[in-house]
Amino acid sequence: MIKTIFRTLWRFLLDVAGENDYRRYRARTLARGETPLAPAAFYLASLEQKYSRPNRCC
Amino acid sequence: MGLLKKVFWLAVACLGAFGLGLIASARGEPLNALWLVAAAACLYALGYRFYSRFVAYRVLGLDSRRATPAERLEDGRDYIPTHKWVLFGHHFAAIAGPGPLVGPILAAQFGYLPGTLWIVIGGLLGGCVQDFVTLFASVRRDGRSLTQMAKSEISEFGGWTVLFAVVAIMVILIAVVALVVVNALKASPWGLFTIAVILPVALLLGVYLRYLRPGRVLEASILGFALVMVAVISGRYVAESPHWAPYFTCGSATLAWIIIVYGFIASVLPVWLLLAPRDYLATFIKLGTIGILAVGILLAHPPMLMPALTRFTDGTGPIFAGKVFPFCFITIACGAISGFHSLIASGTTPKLISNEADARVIGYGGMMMESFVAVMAMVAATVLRPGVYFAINSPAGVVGAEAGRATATISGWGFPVTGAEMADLAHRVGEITLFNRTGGAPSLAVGMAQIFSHTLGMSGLEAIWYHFAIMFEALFILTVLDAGTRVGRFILQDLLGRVYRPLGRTSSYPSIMVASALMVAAWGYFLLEGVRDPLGGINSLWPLFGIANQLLATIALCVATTILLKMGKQRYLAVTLVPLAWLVAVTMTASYQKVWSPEPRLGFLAHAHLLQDQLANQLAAGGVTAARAHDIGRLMFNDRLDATVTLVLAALVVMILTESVRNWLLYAWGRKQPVLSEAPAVLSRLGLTSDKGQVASGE
Repeated sequence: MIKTIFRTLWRFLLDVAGENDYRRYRARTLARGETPLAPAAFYLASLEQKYSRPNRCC
Repeated sequence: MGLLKKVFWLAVACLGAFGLGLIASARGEPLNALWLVAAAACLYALGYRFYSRFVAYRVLGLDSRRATPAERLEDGRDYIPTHKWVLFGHHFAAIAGPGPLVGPILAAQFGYLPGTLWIVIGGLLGGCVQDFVTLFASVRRDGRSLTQMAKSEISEFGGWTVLFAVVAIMVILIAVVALVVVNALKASPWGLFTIAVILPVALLLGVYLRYLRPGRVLEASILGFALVMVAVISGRYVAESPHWAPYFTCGSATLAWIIIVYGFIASVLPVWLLLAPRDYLATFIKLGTIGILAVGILLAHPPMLMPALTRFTDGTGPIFAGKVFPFCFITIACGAISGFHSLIASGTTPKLISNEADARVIGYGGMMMESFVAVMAMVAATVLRPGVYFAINSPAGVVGAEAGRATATISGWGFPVTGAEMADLAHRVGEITLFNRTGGAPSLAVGMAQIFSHTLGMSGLEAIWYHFAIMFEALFILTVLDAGTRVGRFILQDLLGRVYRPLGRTSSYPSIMVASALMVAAWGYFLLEGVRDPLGGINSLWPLFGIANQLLATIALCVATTILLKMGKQRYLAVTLVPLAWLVAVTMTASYQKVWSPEPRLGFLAHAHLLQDQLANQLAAGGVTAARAHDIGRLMFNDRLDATVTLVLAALVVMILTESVRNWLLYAWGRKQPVLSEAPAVLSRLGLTSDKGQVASGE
């Protein structure tokens, strides 16, 4: 029970932190028959996208 | 609704009403902060359960059977269906900045009642509605931005106004929050050392995330947090070291220049190296500390020593000038209604929503959570003795720079405080002095340190808690500063590119340098103006920020009202029109008073005239140096510049409102066809295979 709670919480934290983003992106890109970016390139592209528009408020 | 549920909600309503009655009628005896928290929590629960449901299903007609852009346009990059609680976390982290912490601290000069009522009621009826409706509108339009929606729903001019308002807000916002950091770190070697260490830690994390473990944000953040805590704890030894302390003891002007240089560097460096890792660190510390503060308040349940209403509701407050109306509602923007949120609600979030019905918990619920953070900030400010609160937050230009004079002035207002008491407090939190530490951050840190040290049983660690709180606030603010400068740089590059194409290239270093320098110069000018202002800077800059922010909220609510009209929801127009009317009244009154009030502490022009008269008298008497005359001239120029900025912002409010009302009347008279620019409705495939919650009926 406690183990399940912690596992769920950990998965939630990983999701919030965006650590599963690459895995999802890779699966979707491969499903479309395209070649996915490498993890580091995907990480850089995500950051460029995120920080080029208002994403942190006052 | 079953009988048991009815009884439950009736009990919540009774508790909320009782708590509200108690905080409104409390006179004399200090009231326990738990009553304020309980009353707010009950009102939030009622607001979410009933009002947000009404807005969601009666007004907007949320339909979970309708595919969202994240589902229809899913590309794994921009459009990704995301679990609602994960997205709630992202959205809340994006909207929660220093505003809901600093605004209530400053507005506490009126007492705890006006600010608290505005935070809760303004939040539920204004801010939450604005965020929710904007998010809904953007989801129905493939995740379009507020600028694009203003262009398509109001006019081309509306879109340009949003763009201008965004740049204006960023410039003023960054300047004012940078001023808060300056005032928190001036003559504070412990605080400055901690922040100085965070930057190399962020660089280290940047390299770790880029080369060693790409995208492993959580483990990098845990590592970063451990290093930051080492910095917070070891800051004491730096502050006590006769060798090291002088290196980290800076005055306001030096700190302002350091921050200006930092803003420029953060804007031109690759985003992975400094900005992003520092932001990750800030986000986790921010969310964690807010949680700890909530638990701390519940466990400590401290009495609120500030009265419900102070004598300063008449406009003579030392922290900022102006009566409770309109200035309480300008000072607290982000905790109640913040136009800036409409940019977040129409940016990344709508592209990630997997179910249209989730817009309610993310848009309305996210803002409600931010509003609750503002209530906690109000508690942290009002648990301080009022004399201490005013001694920390009053500028030297009002109460005097010398401790004896300041305590005499503040005690004369009916809020007793002694120099010995302030010296003891400063010693306990590891600071040289706490007098004239305007901006709200130091008083919030003292309040948080008291709550933490009393609840967590570590009363001997008050100094560490204080500097932890300062670090937490500074991290919040650095996020606004560097992320805001970078976004401002992109907007400027976009605009400059229309004039000279090479300047619009976002990957070209000359273009990056020029746009970054322009952006930093703009907010840096206002920051230096604030540092040099004898009235402390906050008095003039915070209201400007509030007016700019509410200008954006006015635009967002105009767009929302136009969309409701086009949807044929005339019956429910009050949902957006009432907060819009209130905002216009507040913004216009505040703008008028800031420009034309004859009171020099309030009106920019009156202050310029006063300085002009003083200069003329001193010149006539022959007792003024060239340097002093130059300083006075610069202060007069700043006053006139602030008046001009205020007038431009007010004029934009009038223009956008006029344009919107003209459109509404044309629709009403049938002289213009209302065309709803929603994306075509497509049945959700996710809805057929999973539990998608409620459908259009809401039940």
